[in-house]
Amino acid sequence: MAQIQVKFFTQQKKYEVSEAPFSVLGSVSGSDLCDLINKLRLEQDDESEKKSFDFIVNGEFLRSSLLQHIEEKGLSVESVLPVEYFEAKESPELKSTLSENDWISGIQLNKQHILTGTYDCSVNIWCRNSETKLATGLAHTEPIKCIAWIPSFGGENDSNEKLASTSQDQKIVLWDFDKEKNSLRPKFSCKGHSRSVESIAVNSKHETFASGSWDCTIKLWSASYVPEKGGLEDEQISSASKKKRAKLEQTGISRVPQMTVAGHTEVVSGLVWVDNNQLCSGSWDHTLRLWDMSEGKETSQLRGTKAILSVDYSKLNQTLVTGNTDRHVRLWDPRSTGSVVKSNRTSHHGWVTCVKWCKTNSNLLVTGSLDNLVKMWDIRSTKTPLFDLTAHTDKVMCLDWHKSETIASGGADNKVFLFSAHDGSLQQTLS
Amino acid sequence: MKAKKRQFLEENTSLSLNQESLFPSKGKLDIDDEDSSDESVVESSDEEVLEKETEYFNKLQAKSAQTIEKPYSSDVDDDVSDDEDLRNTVGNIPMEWYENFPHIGYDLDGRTISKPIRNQDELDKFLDKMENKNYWRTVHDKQTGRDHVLTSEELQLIQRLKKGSFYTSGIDPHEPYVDFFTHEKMIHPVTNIPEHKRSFTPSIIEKRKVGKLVHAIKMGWLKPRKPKTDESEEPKFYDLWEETESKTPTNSELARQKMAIPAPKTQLPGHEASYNPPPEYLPSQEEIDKWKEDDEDERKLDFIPEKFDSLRQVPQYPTFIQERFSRCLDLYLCPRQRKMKVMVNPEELIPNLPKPKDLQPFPTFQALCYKGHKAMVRTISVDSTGQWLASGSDDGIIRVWEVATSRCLREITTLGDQPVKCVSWCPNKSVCLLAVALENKIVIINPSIGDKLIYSATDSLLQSFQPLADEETTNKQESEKSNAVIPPWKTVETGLPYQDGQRLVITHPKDVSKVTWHAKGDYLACVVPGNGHAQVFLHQLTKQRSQTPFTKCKGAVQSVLFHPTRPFLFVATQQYVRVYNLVKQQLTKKLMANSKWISSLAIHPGGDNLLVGSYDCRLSWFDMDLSTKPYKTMRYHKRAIRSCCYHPKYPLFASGGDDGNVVVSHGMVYSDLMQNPLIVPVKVLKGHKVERNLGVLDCCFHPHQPWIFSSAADKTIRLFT
Repeated sequence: MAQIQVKFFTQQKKYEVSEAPFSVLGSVSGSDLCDLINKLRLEQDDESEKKSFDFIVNGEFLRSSLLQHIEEKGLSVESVLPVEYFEAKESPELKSTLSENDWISGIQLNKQHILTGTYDCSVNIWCRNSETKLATGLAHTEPIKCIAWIPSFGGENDSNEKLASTSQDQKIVLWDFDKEKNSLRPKFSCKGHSRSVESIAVNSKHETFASGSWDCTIKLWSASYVPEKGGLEDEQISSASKKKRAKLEQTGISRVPQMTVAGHTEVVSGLVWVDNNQLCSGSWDHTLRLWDMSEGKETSQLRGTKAILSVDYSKLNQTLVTGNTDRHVRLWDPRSTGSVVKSNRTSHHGWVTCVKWCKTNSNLLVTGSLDNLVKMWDIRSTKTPLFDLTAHTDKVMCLDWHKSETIASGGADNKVFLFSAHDGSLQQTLS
Repeated sequence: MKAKKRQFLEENTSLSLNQESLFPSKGKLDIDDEDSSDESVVESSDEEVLEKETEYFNKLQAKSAQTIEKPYSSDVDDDVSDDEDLRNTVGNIPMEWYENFPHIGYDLDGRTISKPIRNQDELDKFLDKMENKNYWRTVHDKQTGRDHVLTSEELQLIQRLKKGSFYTSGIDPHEPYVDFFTHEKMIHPVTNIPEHKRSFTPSIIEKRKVGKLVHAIKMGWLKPRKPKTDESEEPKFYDLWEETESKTPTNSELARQKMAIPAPKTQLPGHEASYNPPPEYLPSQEEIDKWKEDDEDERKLDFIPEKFDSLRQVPQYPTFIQERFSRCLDLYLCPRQRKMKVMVNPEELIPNLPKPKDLQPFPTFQALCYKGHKAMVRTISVDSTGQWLASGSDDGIIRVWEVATSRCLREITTLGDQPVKCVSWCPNKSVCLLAVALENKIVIINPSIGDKLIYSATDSLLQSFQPLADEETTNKQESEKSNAVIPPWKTVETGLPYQDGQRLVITHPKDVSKVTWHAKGDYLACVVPGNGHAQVFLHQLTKQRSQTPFTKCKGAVQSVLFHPTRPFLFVATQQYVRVYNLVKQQLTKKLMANSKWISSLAIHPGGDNLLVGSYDCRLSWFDMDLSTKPYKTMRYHKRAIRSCCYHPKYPLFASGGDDGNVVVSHGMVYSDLMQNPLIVPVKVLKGHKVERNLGVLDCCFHPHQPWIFSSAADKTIRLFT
């Protein structure tokens, strides 16, 4: 068996060992190397605890034997092989479970609250600490399809929080949540789509948001809660009678889109802002399109072979990720054009309905699928996901990853599961 | 005898001596012969001598005869002696010569023998015949002219001669033959003469002869025989095949040689045939019983292996004769002609089709399962946007599902509890309508799903309809004309059914089995199976009018289908698909499906190709430009095909059958008319369970995606992507 010279290094200072090269057998696996590192650490410091480590060779996780890995990558066996190691990420733990009355189609977290949209046409806000339902908003007449917080610049100090929900009744409703009164009131009702509204994405400046619908269009709306001066919205308030005003309280002031962009030939199922102006949309027509929303023009198109169900973009590694109907998770480079897929991740057994990047780590993402599983991936591990989060008993339909520590997922089993992702080591990596 | 002879000689000599003493006897004869005077004297003397002589000779003869025929009676001797030796000396001449003479010849003495007086008339002859007892043996002697009575010896002689035996009875032809050399071995040789001394000494004469020959050879006068050559000494064999070898064989002979088939070989005995086979070859009792029960043809062995301690204990093989006989039969019945075998590589027979991998996209795995129905789901339909899926189950419930999530959004329960036979979305995108066939009704339902504007506009459109007065009358007239019941339309305006979406109800005389929309969404055709004339109805939605296009329907109609672009209507009966031109109102084509019972029809969106599924597992692809027979018949299902469908955009088609499988095939139709459609089966989708022998009941493709929905008897609908 071939001997391979390896050199260990790490970015986690507390686990550092000497950089002298070691000669190891080619057949060693990750666990063998882990034992080696622990022994080395013991030599240096008698009090060090045993930890499990993950190893990265040539930018990829070591999952098979070292020799196999080297052969796959086409590396030289002669030279000294640099092996990076870091403390293995611990499996996310199921923290809590929330029960809804119907299928959960949208979920989003912020620091204090959990926002869910369900198929019984209601928007619900839960308190994260007490895990109680704070408020329920009923303004839609058809199932909710997607929800989103609209963060305000005042941050958490604001007494009110804003949120938006889209529904099959072709409307987007902008809600106002009063934290003190725990009351949820519809403020604006955005009408313009002619079919069910499937996706929503709020701009990073929180001024506008975009929505994608079954009518194959993307519409840009104002996210402002101040009625447009001298426009239709003002008129509605001013001209409304008492009765109508009461009705407006229930449904919200009608709002029309700022802009409509058409180009997709099928439902726009995923939307994400790449930067303040650039919007990326994924559709069932197998394409990812990038739009310049200041002008309303399509800038580039990425052509796939399977319908796209969800899109997310990571600002940390400038990569788009899509969940597809062929069970694959695909990574795309938004700067490329044509039909170039950066790479594929295959492990799910059903449609990948939702994907989400970790906002603090460039390598991590979670995906949810119709096979009842939520999977956490490290993009450096090409073959297998890091963890399978098994909690759902039916289709996973939505998930969110808030600030790298909490993963929330909702599905057709009417349950919201919150997982805590330990990321102490990851944060150190970033710092 | 010697004494008599001597006496005869003495008398002859004395005759010449005593001539004169003989004269006295001369006088006696004169009386007989008066004419001869001088001569007669001499003659008489001669005649006397002659007479004596003949008399004496006759006596001698008679004596000699007597000596031979001693046993005979003395009478004959007397007769001969009495008969005075009337010997005629004329010899053996014809006696007619003497007819004119008074005599008939001369006796020994030269005297004439006068003719005997014969004056017997017929009466005398008759009397003689009657009275004379010797008449039968009396013969007439012509030479003497007398009658001669045959003696018994003579008679016997005649009889013997007639028989062809010896003339005397004394010779026995069959007397035992005494062999000269007996077969018995004698002690003594026949001749026991010792060989002569000469035989032991070399012959001088021979020596001389040999010496002469040797000398002649030496001198070269005589050439010795050539010595025998070696060739002649070699044994000569007859070459049996000499001719055939030299002769060039004819074609028929060559063919016969070529086609000669060796006799079938007998199978060599194996270990089991041994008298002492290894124990693993010995059958157990069960196996023996089974062997005995089995049919003779089914047996693996003709005999039961048995074990014997030694070869001499093996009994006679009982089926020896049968075995030999069957072997003879084998030889006798073995084929005399060689079958022409064509060596074909089996892989070459497989058509060169592209790999399914290269024909993507097509559905490959089950993505979603739409659960909720409580009874088997007989029919499904996807709306033209591809967002909603409608399904009807056997408990009379219609459900509308969201395709992407398998969420049931609408449930229509007010139709009763009879099985929903068929649901179909209106293909017109500006209306939101669902046609449902159930019992004898077609119910037009507005499920109020999708675009609010559209479904509210649909309602208002239906409400705005106002029947014209004259139309009703024309309807009635038409119905009278065609003798068929025009189904009445009923508008549902209020109540629970209206809230549930029911808008129009068309009632037919019998149960409706199938409903299908025209591509423009105004007309819909339905099948009312039965033996009556009106099996196909056409309904027009905008005018709320119905008609029965066919006055006669041959066979039981199974399915109907509109051509997507042209005014054609496909009507499938059990074995044929008839294509009617609705504008010209005539039959344009009759397609023969080659199957017993058609179950489903589907038309390619291009309109030139038709798919026909049948209950006998066949799926036929018709290229209608090509022929009225199937371009290709596929048998991918093990059991009856219930439904088939084309994808509206992708080159795909599929069939669902009772074996619970959906078979997806690639069916590329080229715009080039010269190129035939390419058909490649790409995927068998499994997942549905077979319940009550029913599997997949309906299947349909998503209008935009390469996905297929299938509904089955296991109460589920599945989406394969």
